[in-house]
Amino acid sequence: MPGLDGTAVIALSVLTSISILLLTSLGLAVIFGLMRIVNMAHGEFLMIGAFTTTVLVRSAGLPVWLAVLGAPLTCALLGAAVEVLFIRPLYGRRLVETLLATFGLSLILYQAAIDIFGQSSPGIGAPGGFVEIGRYTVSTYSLFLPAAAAAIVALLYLVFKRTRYGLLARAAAQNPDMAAALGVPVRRVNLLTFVLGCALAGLGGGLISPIVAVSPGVGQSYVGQAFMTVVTGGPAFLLGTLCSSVLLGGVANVVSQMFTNLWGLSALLVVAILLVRLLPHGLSGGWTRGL
Amino acid sequence: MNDKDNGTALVPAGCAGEQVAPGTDRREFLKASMAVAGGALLAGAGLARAARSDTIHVASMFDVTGGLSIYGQPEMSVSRLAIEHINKAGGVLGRKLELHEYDTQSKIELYSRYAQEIGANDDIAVVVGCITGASREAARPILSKNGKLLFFPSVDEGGECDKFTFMQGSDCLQMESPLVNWAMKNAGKTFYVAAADYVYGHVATAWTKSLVEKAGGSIVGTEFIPLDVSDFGATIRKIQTAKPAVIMSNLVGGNHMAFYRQFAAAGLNRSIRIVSPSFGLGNEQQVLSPEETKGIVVAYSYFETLGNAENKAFVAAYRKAHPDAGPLMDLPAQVWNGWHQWKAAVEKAGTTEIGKVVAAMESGIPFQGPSGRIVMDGPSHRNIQDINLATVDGKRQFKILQTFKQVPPSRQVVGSASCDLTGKDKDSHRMIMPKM
Amino acid sequence: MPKAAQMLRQLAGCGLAWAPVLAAAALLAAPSLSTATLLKSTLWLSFGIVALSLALVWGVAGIFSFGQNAFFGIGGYVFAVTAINVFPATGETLTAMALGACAAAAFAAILGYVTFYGRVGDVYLAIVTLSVTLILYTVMSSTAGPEYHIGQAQLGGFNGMPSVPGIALGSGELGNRQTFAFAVCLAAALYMLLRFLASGRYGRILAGLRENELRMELLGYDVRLHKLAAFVIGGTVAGLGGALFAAWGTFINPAVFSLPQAALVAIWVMVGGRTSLAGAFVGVVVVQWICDQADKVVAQQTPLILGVMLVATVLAFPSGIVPSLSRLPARWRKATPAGNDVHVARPAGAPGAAARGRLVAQHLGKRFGGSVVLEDVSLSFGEAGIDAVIGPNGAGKSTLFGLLTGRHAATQGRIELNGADITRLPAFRRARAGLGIKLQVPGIFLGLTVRENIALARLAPRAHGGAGDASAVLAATSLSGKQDLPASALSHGEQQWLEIAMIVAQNPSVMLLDEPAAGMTRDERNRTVELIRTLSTQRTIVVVEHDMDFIRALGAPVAMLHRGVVFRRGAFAALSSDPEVRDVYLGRRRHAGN
Repeated sequence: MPGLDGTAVIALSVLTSISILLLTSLGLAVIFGLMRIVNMAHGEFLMIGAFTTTVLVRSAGLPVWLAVLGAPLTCALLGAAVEVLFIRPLYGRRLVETLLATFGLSLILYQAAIDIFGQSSPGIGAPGGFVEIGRYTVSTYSLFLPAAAAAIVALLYLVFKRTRYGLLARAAAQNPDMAAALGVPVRRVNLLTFVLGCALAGLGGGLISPIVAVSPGVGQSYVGQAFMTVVTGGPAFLLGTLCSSVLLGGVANVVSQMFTNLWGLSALLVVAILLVRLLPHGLSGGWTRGL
Repeated sequence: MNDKDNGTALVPAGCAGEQVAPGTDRREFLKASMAVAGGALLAGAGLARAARSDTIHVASMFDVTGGLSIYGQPEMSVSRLAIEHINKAGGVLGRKLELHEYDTQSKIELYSRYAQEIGANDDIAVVVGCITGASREAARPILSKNGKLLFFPSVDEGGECDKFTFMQGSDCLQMESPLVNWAMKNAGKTFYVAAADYVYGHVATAWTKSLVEKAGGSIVGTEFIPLDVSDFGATIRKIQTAKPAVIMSNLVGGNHMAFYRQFAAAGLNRSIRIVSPSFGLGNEQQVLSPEETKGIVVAYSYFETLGNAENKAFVAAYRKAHPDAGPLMDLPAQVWNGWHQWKAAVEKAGTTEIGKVVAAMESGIPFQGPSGRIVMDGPSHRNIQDINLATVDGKRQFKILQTFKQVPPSRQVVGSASCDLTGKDKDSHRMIMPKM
Repeated sequence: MPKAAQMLRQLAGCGLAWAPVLAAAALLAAPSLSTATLLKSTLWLSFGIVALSLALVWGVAGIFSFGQNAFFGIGGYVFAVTAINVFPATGETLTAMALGACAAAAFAAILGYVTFYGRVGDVYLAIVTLSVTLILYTVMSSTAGPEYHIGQAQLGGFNGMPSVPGIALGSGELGNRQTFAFAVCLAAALYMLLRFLASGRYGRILAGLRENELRMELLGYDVRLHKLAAFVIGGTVAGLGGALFAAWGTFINPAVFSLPQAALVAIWVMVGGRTSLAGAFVGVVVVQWICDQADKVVAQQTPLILGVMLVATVLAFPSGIVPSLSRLPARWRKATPAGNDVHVARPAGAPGAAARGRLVAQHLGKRFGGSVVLEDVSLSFGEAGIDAVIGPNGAGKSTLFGLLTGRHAATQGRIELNGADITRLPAFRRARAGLGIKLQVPGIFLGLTVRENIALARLAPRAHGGAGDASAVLAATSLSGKQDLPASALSHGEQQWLEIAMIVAQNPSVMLLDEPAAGMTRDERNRTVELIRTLSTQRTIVVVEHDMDFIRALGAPVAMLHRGVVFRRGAFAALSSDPEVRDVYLGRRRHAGN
């Protein structure tokens, strides 16, 4: 029924949804996968990334492409401070305590954003115009997002497979005591991992800032789905999250196309619940250890 | 719909004791005197009764903090400003007004809690407050059970049928009818409706459908979008497939602003016109970029740019008090109207006693305010008011396109009963649920 | 009279006395409270009840749930729907309240079944319950359409349901004061009920779950069932809180399922002190009061204040207010040993000595993925009092142990305990059937005293006979004098002995010990050998070890595993002089195994 151009547009729209889910989940996945910390302030890091980009474009006049790169930098700096002040004292304590501490942090960051930016501040539009596909037009930026997501995943894969840090981080994740005994500087590796996770969240926020309305609450609307993506992804934090993004984002978008947004949202939730019941260890639970 | 409120006709018991609702044995287990004594003992609750003769206590409940503070802050500011203005001009019946401010913090349970506090406070004569339909429905039944008058300043979907409540904002019919007519004439006859999936969205959509069909146009698609959706890829593809000439956007809230952004990014704003009865209330024109919003058409009773003298004075006073505040929208202006209409009614009635004030309100005293002339329509408890069509220019401002003088409100609830508060529903304290 | 005094003292001991006193004080004060105070207090009581439910589920049973406000919200919604439909006819809303609680309980049962029986772990449980709560938010927010109504009750989507009847006992709605009185009574009753549960036998089981779930399972407790039960009780209580909330506000909307609300419950409990049920109410009062007060000083910063409070509590004050306060009197009370209801020693000659059991493995095999770890292992234990299983690293010892204990499922073969097939039984059922299991890492409850540890073992359900006599174990070791010390204060060796004592208290017919001498000093090891020898006069004992001196000292027949098969059987002396065995241990290539 939709025709060739319609099908292409649907496929592109599915791809964009998947990449948005992936971009907003990766930071959470890295921190949870490697440190077993549930970063409840993840949404606020998304928000800070989005605001950084917006401010750089609007106040400093940078082009969007460049401004997006400022987001991970801000979030990395902030993440480093957070790790030293709030996370480090909690290593070895119960997981729930880091979860609550980061939740407290999220409230603080949220209110700070309201105090600084107000409830509604001017945003930036999507750059690059649009392209025509048959009878349809598609935003160029929505085509760029999947490419950016793919590049980020590939880069992360290389970092964890090829660099010294990647090896140490994976070792520390699998057995911190053993890694420490072997001379891995676990503290520094954890700091780097947390900073990387925050930077990824910031990058995600920066990348979606041109297509959403940036407000202090913007991160919170992504957190729930990000949690579900990471949980259903399972222990292979990179490829598992990729798979769950494809599955959840794909299902949500396809169902939205066929029926309505409400059904799309419901389908995402139903699939996530089913996955948790059927595969309690996530999509990648049965894989031999991977990324 | 609601038997409880239906069956509870309220008889104001005068000013000697507490309001007693027949049919319930509320408060009978305590003597009123004990309550008064207890209230007087505890600071904060009881207000010195001695001061009663020269002040009238009034209240406002708005979300000054939290997610809805974007609406609540200007509304509370204007509330303060209006009370100041009235007091400067000599007060009401020669008595000064004292405003009790309740910050409901964007939490529904606080509306409930404060409404009960106000309800139990004999001194408070009137409330101008509430922002969302949800907050109004949390507070209204409690206030009206306790014989308190409520002025609700937001635009709303209709259906309110409460003798003690006056609806200040324009209703769906008042806003959508000019929008549909304008769009039919200037953009085209095919409509796609994108609506927020909550009560307002559903009712507004029902009005859109009936108005478009009556005007000879057609609806080529309708979609209800949950409030937490911000990825509109699927919606935009469907719009492109349906090829409407006009989008009627009944979207609300921060997440839904992304719709306008993604709509423009896909280049659809070149060929399809958006009209909306809700755009702008959340400062959408400020958040989005000028390119994204240019050409969107809205309809409200009030715009900051209106040229009448009352508005110029109003804007000047507001800007003096809040130099950094954002643009003034419809809601705060209705707060101003509410306080002044109440003042006029009390002065006509010669008392703050609720029955007489309501009767005076229903008699239709005209008021010349920032949004022009308004007159209360007795049966519907809604204002007959001017509606202005405006479009967003390239500088994030609204430019008035056309003014419809003295547009009457709807006395009909979509697909359901009508409400006549001066006739058959004169004892009603309920909300009629619309049927679609 | 002394009996009454003693009872009173006992009540005071478990904190039950002051709850009615406080409640009575609140009721007496009610007539003189202002409307604002009454309304606020009633609201806080409804919050306190949901916090109480989390204190039970999290603080007592160790299950961190973000779902308590989901149950709260469900209780509220079901109350609202029922009350709107029923109140006009019956003039009461208690039925609605009961239904609300039942609905919350049912939902907790379903959610708990999925997660606990699906073995969803620690943090995952937090995320799953949070996700479910957010899903409810989305679902309830999308019921705006007019088609969503139940009887007279329109669900209203994001706007929620207005005009919900308040608390009514049959003759119309209660006033503010009566509602407050009702809330006080409800909260006090729920508090006392949970307090009673938490201080009795059931409370000890919950504490065991919190401290060491695996050990509880190996003791024969059906961990999943007990967690589910605690979860459902918590859900019911939260549901009642929600019903009270809806009745108080005459209103309910999806905001009860929102993320901030979910977190608020955790903040209350954390601040009040999660291990204290009373802390739940203290937490609500402190947090809400600070928010109210702070709003007057620095307006509009509530999230910031909550955030700072939460971070500060977690970092600087993790045990919360009430436990920190109650630690003071505990120090004074120290002279009198607590918990005297637990009798470890039993009279000599009492029944409880089990007959030696028989554990048989037939053609056991296990493969993980593509690799065969254990193949065709047939062993029979029970003829000699003690049997030892040895083997170099990677020989398959741990896998065999895992198969025998039920940690892994066998890919082939059969396991029999005293003639009954236990191949497919989960660990706790094996324990109940008389298999005592000691893992390599001491599986004890570090936060409980020695006495309480053993009490938990004695209380464990079992299919046979009475409890065993752990006093001999305690007497044979240095533990007799340390019964009121927390297990965390024991040395590593003592912890191992405590675990053995716990297993004996269960009175198993077969004891499986994995490296019982790991980490022990030479002296401790010798005493362990003696202990095991003594125990073996009455029970079958299987020791899996790689400490050759220990095996030698035990003097038991040995089965040696190598590359997943039984490589040798026989006396230790014979094996130790076998050149092939020595080659295997020394890693030489020359052997006949292949």
